[in-house]
Amino acid sequence: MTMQFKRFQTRLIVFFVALLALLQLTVFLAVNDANIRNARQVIKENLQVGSSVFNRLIEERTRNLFQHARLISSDYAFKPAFYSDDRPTILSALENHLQRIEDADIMLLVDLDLKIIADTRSPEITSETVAWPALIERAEQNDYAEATAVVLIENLPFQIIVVPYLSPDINAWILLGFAIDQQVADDLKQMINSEISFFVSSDSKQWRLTRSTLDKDKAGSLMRKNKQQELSFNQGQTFTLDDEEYIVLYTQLAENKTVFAMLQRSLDQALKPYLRLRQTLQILMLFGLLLSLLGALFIARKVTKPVKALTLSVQKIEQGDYHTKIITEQKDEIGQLAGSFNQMAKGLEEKEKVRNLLGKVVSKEVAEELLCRKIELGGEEKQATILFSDIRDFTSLCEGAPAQEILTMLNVYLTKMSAVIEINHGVIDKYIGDAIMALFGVPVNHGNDAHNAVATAIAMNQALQKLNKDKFGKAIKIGIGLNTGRVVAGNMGSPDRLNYTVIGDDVNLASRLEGLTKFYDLPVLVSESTRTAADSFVYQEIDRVRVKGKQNAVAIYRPVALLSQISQPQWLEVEICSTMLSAYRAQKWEKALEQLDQLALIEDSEFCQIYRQRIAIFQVSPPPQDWDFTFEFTEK
Amino acid sequence: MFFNRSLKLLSKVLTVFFCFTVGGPVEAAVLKIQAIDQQNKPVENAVITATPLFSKVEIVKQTKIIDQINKEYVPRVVIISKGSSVKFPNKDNIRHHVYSFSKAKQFELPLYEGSTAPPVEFNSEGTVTLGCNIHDWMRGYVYISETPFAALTDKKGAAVIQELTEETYRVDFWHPRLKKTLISREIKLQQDSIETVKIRLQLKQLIKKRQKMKTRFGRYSD
Ligand SMILES: [Cu+2]
Repeated sequence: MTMQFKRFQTRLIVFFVALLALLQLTVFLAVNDANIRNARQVIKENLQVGSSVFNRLIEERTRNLFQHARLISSDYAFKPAFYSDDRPTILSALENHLQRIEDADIMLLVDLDLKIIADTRSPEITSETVAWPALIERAEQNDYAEATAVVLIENLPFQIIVVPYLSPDINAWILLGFAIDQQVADDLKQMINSEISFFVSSDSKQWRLTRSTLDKDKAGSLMRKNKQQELSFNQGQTFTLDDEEYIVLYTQLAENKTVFAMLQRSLDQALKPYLRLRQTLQILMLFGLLLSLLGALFIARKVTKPVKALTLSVQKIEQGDYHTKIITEQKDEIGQLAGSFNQMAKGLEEKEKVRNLLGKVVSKEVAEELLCRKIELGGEEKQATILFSDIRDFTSLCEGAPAQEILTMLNVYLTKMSAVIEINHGVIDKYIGDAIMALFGVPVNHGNDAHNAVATAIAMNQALQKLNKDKFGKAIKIGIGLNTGRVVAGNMGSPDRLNYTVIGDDVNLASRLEGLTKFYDLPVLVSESTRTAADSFVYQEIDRVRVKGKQNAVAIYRPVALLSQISQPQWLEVEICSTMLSAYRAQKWEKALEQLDQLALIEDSEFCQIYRQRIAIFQVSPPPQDWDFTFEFTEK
Repeated sequence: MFFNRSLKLLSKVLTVFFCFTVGGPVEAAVLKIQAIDQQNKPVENAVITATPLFSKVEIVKQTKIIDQINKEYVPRVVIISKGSSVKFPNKDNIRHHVYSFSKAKQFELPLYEGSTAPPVEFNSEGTVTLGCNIHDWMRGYVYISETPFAALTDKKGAAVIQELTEETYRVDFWHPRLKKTLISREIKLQQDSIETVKIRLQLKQLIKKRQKMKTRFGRYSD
C-alpha cells in the first residue's frame, strides 16, 4: 500500500520534472543553436568588413604616400641637393623626407636609366638597377607617371609607389614604400577585432606566413598547417587551430598576387559572452528544476499525506481499532474523502460495539451466526448435545448468606464454568439463575460435539473441585445432564426481540437427566444416545428410567474416564457394576447383593444404597411379569 | 641616361622623310619642315636648327622675351643664339619664381613682379628647362643655338628656315618631350631650292595636370 503511494508520488515528481526538463532542454538547444549560428554569421560579416577595412587601410596609406611623394616631387628645396650630384647629400635629403612621412618605411631615388641614386634601406648601394623595373615602366605608361605595387623585400610585403621627380621635367623617379608588417597587422586587429596573418608568395604557388597577430604558439601551428599544405585558401572556411575553432576569410590585396591576408576570428572567443550567459542559463534551469522538484514534492505530499493517513487508519480499523480519526484541513476531494472515512469509522465503531455487546449477551458463536446470517425467525433441525448444569441445593446454600456475597460467588462460578464450556467449543444458551444451558453442535457442527460435551462435563467438575478448594471454602456440588439428539435450533421470540436457542424432547431429556443426578448423587448423567455418540469414554450404566412425560425408557450412564486414561480400580468398579446389574436384572438378588458388597468395599455410594433398597423390596415382593428393569420417575 | 637606353629601339621606330623638290627662282635655299608625332599629329614647338658643316656663320646676340601670362610661360619655347639674353617680364598680378637647373644655364629669379627681373644671358649651347617654384605646371624652354638658322614649328607642325645657301647642313630636331635628346640629320641643300623635310618625332607622353578639385571632391559628388 505504502509502496503504491510512494510510486504515485514518484510518478508525479517524475512527470513534472521530466516535463520541465524537456521544455528547458528544447529551449536551451534552440537558443544554443541560434546563438552559435548567429555568432558564425556575425563573424563572417565582421570578417567581410575587416577585409574591406584592410583594403581600405592599405589604399588610404598608399594614397597618403602618393600625396607626400608628389610634394617631394616638386619640392624646390630638394632640387639643389639633387643637382649637386653628391650622393650622401641626396641620401640625407631622402632620409630627411622619410622622417617627415610617418607612413613610409623606405624611400628610393632612381634615375631615368633605372639605376639607384639613393636608397634609404641600404645607403651603400649605388648605380645598381632597381629591383622592380616593371613598376617604373608602368609609371612611364601612366597619365600622371605614377604607379604602385606590392613587392617582396626579404619576404616582407611592401606597398611601393613611384612618382616622377620633376625639376621641373622628369629627371628621376621617387619610390616610397611602407611595409605590410606586424604594425599593420596589429593596427588592423585593433580596428576589426580579428586575427590577421599575412601570407606571401613570389610564384603564387608556394605561400609562406610572414606576419601574424596570433600568439607565438598559434602562429607556429598555423605555419605548420601551411607547411603541411592543410590550408586550402578557400573562402568562408572553418578550421581549428590548437583546438580552437576559427572562421577564416582570405583577402588579396587589389590585383596583386604576392600577398594575401588571412582574417580569422575565434568562434570560441566570439561565443565567450554567450557561454557566460549559457552558464547562467544552466544555473537558472537547474534552479528551476530544483524548484519544480520541490513543488512537485510538496503537491505530491499534500495528496499522499492524507492518503497515507487514510491507509494507516484503514489498517488500524482492520486490526480492530475504531477510534482512529483523520484530521485534515483540506477542503478538496481528499478532504471530502477523509470526512467520509471518519464517518465510516464511526459507523464501524458503533457496529463493533453492538457486536461486542451481542457477544456478551449471547455466545460468541451465536453472535457470529447472528451477524453473518440474515436474522429471521424460525429454525432448522440439527444434531446437538445439550448440557444442563445446576448447583445442588442452591437454595439451602443461599440461606443465611448476604445476597451480594451469593451474587459474587455465583458470578465467579458462572465465569469459570462458561470458560470451560467455551474452551470445549460449547455454546452457552442461557443462564437460569445458577443453572447453565449449553449447546454442543449448534450453531456450528464440530464433528465431535458429543465428545466435547462429555469432556466439558468432566472438566466442569474438576474446575469446581478447584474452586471449592481455592475460593469458596465449601463443598458445592453440581449436577450435569447430557443428552444428544435432533433438536430444532434457531431464533425464537418476536421479530424485535429474539433468542437463539434449541427446543425439542431431547432438550427436555437433558434437563431431566440433570434433575436425576441429585437422586443418584452423581455429578454427571448422560443418555444412551450421548454415550453412543461419545464412545471414546468408558461409561458405567446406572439405571434404566422413564422420566415424567415420556413414554420411552432410557438407559442412563455415568462417564468414568477416557478409554485411554482409565485406571485399574476404575475398570474393576465398572465391571462389578456391570455384573451387579446383570444379576439384578436376572433377578439373582443374592448375586447382585454380593456384587454390591464388593462395590461397597470400593465406595459405598448412593448407587449401592438404591439397589440394596430395591433388592430388599423385590425379595419381599418380586417384580411383575413384564418387568423391564425400568425405574419410573413421577416427579421432575 | 634614360634616352640612351632606348636609343636602339627609337632609331628603328623613328623615320625621317626627306622630300627634295626643286623650287622657283629663289636665290637662297629654303628648308621646310613638317613635324608629326607617333600618332601622325602635327608637333608644335619643335625646334629645328640647321648648322652648316663647312662654313662659319656669324652669330648675332639678341634679347628675347618670355612673358609670364596667366601662370604660363609665353611663348613656351624660345630659340636664341649662344650669348643672347632672355627677359622674363611678369604680366600676372602675382609673383613668380623662375628657375632652371639645366646644365646649359642654372639660375633663378626669385619672386618678382613686372619687369623688375634682370635679363638672363645664356652662354652655353643646349636646352634650358624653366620651371616656376610657385606653379608646378609652368614650363618654359630656352633653346641656345650655335647657328642662326633655326625655326620653331607652328600649330600645324610646320617650320621654315630661309636664307640658306648651297651647303651640307646638320639639321637638329629637338622637342621638350622628345624621347631621344636630339635627332640630327645631314642634309645637302642645292642653290635656289626648297627642301621639305617631313619628320616623325617619338614624343613622351604628356603628364596630365592634376585637377585638385576633382580628386578632392569628385569621390563624394559622383
Ligand atoms: Cu609661377
